Amino acid sequence: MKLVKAFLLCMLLSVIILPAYSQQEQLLSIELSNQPILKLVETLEQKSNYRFFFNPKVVDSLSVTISATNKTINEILDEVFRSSNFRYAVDENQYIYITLQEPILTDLPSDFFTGIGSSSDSLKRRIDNSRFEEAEKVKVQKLTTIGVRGATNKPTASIAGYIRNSKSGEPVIGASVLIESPLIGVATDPNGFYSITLPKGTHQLKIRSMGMKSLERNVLLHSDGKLNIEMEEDVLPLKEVIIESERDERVLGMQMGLEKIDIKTLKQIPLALGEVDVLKAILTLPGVQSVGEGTVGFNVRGGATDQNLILFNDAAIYNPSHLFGFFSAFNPDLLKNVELYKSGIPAEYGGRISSVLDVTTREGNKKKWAGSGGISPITGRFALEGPIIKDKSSFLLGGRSTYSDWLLQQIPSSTLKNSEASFYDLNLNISHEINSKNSIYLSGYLSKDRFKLQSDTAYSYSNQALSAKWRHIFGNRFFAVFTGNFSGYDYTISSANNPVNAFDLSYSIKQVQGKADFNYFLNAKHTINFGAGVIRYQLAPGTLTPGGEESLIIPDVLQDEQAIESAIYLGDNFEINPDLSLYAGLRYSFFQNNGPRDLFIYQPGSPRDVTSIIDTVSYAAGQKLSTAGGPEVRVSVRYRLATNASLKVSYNRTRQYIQMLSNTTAIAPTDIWKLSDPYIKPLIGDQISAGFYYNSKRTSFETSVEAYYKVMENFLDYKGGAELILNHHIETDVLNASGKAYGAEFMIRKSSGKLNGWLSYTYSRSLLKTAGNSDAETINRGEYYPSNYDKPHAVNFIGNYKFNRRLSFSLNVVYSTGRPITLPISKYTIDGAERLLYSDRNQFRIPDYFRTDFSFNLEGSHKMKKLAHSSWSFSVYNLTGRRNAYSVYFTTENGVVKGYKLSIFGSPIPTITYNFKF
Amino acid sequence: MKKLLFIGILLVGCIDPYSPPEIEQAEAALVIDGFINLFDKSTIKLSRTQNLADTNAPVQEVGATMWVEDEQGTKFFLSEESAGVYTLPVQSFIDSRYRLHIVTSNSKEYVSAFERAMISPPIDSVNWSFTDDLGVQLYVNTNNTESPQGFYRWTFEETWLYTSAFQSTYVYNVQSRSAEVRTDDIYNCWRTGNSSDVLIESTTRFSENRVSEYPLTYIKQSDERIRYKYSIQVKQYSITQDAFNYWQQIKKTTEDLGTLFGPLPSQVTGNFRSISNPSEPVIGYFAIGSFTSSRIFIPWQELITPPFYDTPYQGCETYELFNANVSSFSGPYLLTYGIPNPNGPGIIGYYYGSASCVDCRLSGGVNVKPDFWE
Repeated sequence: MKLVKAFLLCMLLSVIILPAYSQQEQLLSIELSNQPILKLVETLEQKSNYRFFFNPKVVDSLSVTISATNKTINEILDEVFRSSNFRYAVDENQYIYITLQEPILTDLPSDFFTGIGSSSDSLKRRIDNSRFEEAEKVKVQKLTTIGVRGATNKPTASIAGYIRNSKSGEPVIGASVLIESPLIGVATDPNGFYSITLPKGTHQLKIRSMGMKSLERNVLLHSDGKLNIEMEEDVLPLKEVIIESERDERVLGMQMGLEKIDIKTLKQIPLALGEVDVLKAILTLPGVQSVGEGTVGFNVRGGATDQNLILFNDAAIYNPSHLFGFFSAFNPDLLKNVELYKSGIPAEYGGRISSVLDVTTREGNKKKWAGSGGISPITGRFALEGPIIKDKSSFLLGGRSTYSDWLLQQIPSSTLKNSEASFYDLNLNISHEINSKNSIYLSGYLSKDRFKLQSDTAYSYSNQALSAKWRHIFGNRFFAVFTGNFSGYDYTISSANNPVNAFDLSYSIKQVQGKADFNYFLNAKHTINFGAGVIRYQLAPGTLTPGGEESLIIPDVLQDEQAIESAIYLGDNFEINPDLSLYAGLRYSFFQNNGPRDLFIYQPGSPRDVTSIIDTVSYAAGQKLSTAGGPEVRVSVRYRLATNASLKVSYNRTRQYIQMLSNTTAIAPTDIWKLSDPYIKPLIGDQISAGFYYNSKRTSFETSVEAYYKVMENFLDYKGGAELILNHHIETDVLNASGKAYGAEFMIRKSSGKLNGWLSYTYSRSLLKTAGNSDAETINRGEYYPSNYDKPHAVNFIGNYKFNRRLSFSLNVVYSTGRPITLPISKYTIDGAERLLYSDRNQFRIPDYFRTDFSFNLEGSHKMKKLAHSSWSFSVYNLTGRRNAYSVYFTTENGVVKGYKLSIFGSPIPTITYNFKF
Repeated sequence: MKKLLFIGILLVGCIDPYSPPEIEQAEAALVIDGFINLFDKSTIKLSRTQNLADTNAPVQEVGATMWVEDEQGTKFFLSEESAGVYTLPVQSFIDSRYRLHIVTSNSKEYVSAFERAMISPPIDSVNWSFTDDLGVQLYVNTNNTESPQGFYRWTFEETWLYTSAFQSTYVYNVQSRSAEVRTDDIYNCWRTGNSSDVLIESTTRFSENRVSEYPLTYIKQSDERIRYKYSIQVKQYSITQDAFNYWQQIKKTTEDLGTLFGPLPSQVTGNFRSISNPSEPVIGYFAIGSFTSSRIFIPWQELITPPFYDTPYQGCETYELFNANVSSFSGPYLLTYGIPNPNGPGIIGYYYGSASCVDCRLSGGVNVKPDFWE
């Protein structure tokens, strides 16, 4: 198809450029019997000056039988093609074009230079391209009139509305709505809403989105109005269209340091334990690291695990994992979109300094009932959705659970027999469109984990999130979203083996948030957003209660903590000219820690320690203990170097008022979060980053390089062996550190074709410095030392090969430098036992990490009408079985020091998963 | 089965031995090990840290001057009894806080923090119970009614009777090249071991200053230690909160590491500091006070006999040595008992076995019955 187009174009050019000249007819003789057409071409080209042009694939089926003496070329060719579908044309240059069905026009139509419109019409009459175009888009030629003629005198007017999936009624996110002349385009927001300002008159609006059939709408614009558009899902997606929309965004989009993962990409990544996992997918991106496999947290560009704002339908999630981090807490069947901001964080986000991970779930199907689910060796999941009021409101219900408890009971080993591990999560989303200007969304989430491993201590934790959103459209160019949400996280540790020591230890965070966000499409050059929000935190940092009547445990309750965090922001997306755009945002956040609380006062000048407490001050309920806050500047600039290359620079400052206290290697279910108070200052992060983006025009490769430098203040570090649980004076065990991180991320991605995927290399460093006033408050003599997740070199490869529409193969290769650890450097004997003396903190590294995974995905048949669509996925995690060290540790056994390496997945792990959808 | 295996992997992971890259230690740090006993002779040992791969005994620090000092400045000098071992005969300590002062032979000076003298309450009891797998779990119980709460540390010394593989009734005389009747017993031995784990408990979270069934050690059913008779002497120290924190850190950095949620290791040094060079690490914790002790015995009659015992004598066997060959007997072998004459009285030769199978002393014990043994 492309070839034909190029062919036509070349031909037209040659016609225009070359002058006509007269030509003496040459007489030719030829004798062929049942020969391929190539033979004919060869013979004629030898005997004459004629040159043939054709598509060999099209003509190779034709065989020729001819006997001619002293005939003109036209007579010969007429004879040859008489009974076939092929046509030919000869031009002034003695070039002969062989085509199927329609001969090539070698002359311009007589009216070509008199009127463009009519000429193209006459071209169209003779060359019918429609069968090529039909495959590409569904044309809607109806003219829609928007607004009232003469309603305003302004030269422009705006069109706004929703773009929805015609099948499910779900909004289509990131669809582009554009006109080509002049080039004006916008993209739909997460609710499928768009607003575009155009000159009055007729336009052809083009609507494109990934996986959707492209649409065109002819509109006659008189004044502001609305236009809702329904797009059809593309059953046979057109790859060309997909690339363009995705690729252009990376180069031309304002945002840098943003990684988007849609559910389709997620599904292509080989699975660890039979589940599509958002957090594991995030880890394959450049600049994202984790401490080790099977851990919960992720580290973005040298930031700690608690510095990522994880939003699930706008509500913060504190522990995004199940089963020690082997599963993420998000049910993959419900996900719509995952966005990770690594830099250039827009002003509407705040509260964490390293990144924002925005996870949104789908809306339920507004048209009909549907369901999906999956079964793997460890988990089962199910989702059901459907309309409550057709086309108006819908629900989506999802659940997931594990049967690992049952499996554990089958294991003959006695240590595991007493172990338990289970989890579940539940989601419910309800969306309702009240009218064209108002819609509401409700989302509820509950997750619960419980485990007990080889010991008598049982751990359980739970996340809860509730979110309500009201979206109101004031006018075509102005809309607002009002959100109220609740996030809760709690855990309980209980031990009941020895009745005398039985206890329950619990912890909880409750967070209530209210916010309003406004979007104003001022004109084609400015898009303004602004808003305000308030969060109220309520923490119960630790409650120890006796676990029974015999227990000698004294109840111990740490004082509750409460605080208010509020923020206002304003941001402007300013397109200065088509080559240069600027985003300027300012967020002002303010934090206040409130009573009731009794606060210890320490001797000024001496290290904070129990022995230096000189007084206790009581604060009444609502009385403020401390305040913090300040402006947060967010700026990004994009400069387009060419249509396929751009340069971006961004700076952002972020503030964080709640930090996690953890001196374990990974996020543990016993980690506690602590609010800023008079002793624990808020974290402040500054990041400057620059990137270069280039999309190859001819091949479908996208390349990018991003570099960053980041400074973090008031990082929390711990004194050696700090006690973090049930500590009434946590400030005596923590140290104030500062951090810096820098790095460069190189990425090459191919998103289309049978083979797609990406290859990235990241060089990054993450360093901390703890220089207190005394030795006890200083680590490594106050010099910079690598953080726990400092992994300078990382290479990721994700490749996916589609054999056909049903069968695909994915390969994942991961390499990274081993993480830093503190190693024993010498041994000594005290009290009859050998002990270890450790090195400077994080002076050494564990062995490098390397892993390969692969998976085969087999989709069911693509028949449209089927009761249920199913797919199978077979994957092997850690194909080479390399025993990657999770940690290296040394213990004293029978008085002798022994070193061990702990690997979590030390052998290849095959999994098979069955998924279905109806 | 694959699924089950897989779950096993998932939960347990794999643990492999690991030896770190060779780390060269810049300078060996001074290690101070000991306790000043209020009511008895005290011993403090001085040594140096050594590289992990070093299999030699630690280097002793000799020629140091060392004294205990109270807050009034009264000094009690220790004397070097043997290389690196410094002792102090019982003194009349009347003050409540003391510190230890050390000047090494290269004139470097070290001092501890002042520590309170801690008197330990008596041990309530040492007891044991069967575990699910019929092994023995030992516990200590203490109950202090004198003070509302306390911090405790326990150490223990365990002693057990064991035998070699074969009884030896003859001994080979190399001079006369003949067998003679053995007069000593190299079949029954007593071996002694020390606790290596840090055993500490705090009662600050309990409503009474009482420790119930604090686990000391676990002995497998087939363990050689409980084959005949086992004895354990538990020593209880009352320690300060600072000392408790120190031992807690030692415990964390050597015993609790590496688990999924285990803490990160860190440098633990103690309450000594170098006056000459404040950044120099000094290892050890100075403590002063008294300890109380309690001993129990566990004879085999109270236990359930396993199908077999894990002994170092698994591969032992005897060979025959006939009278004719006695004069040429040599090698690392010992005679056991005589081969009876099948046709009449007397013996026609001797059985013999590897020395390590016959002489129980070669397995680390002594053949002298300890004074406390009953």
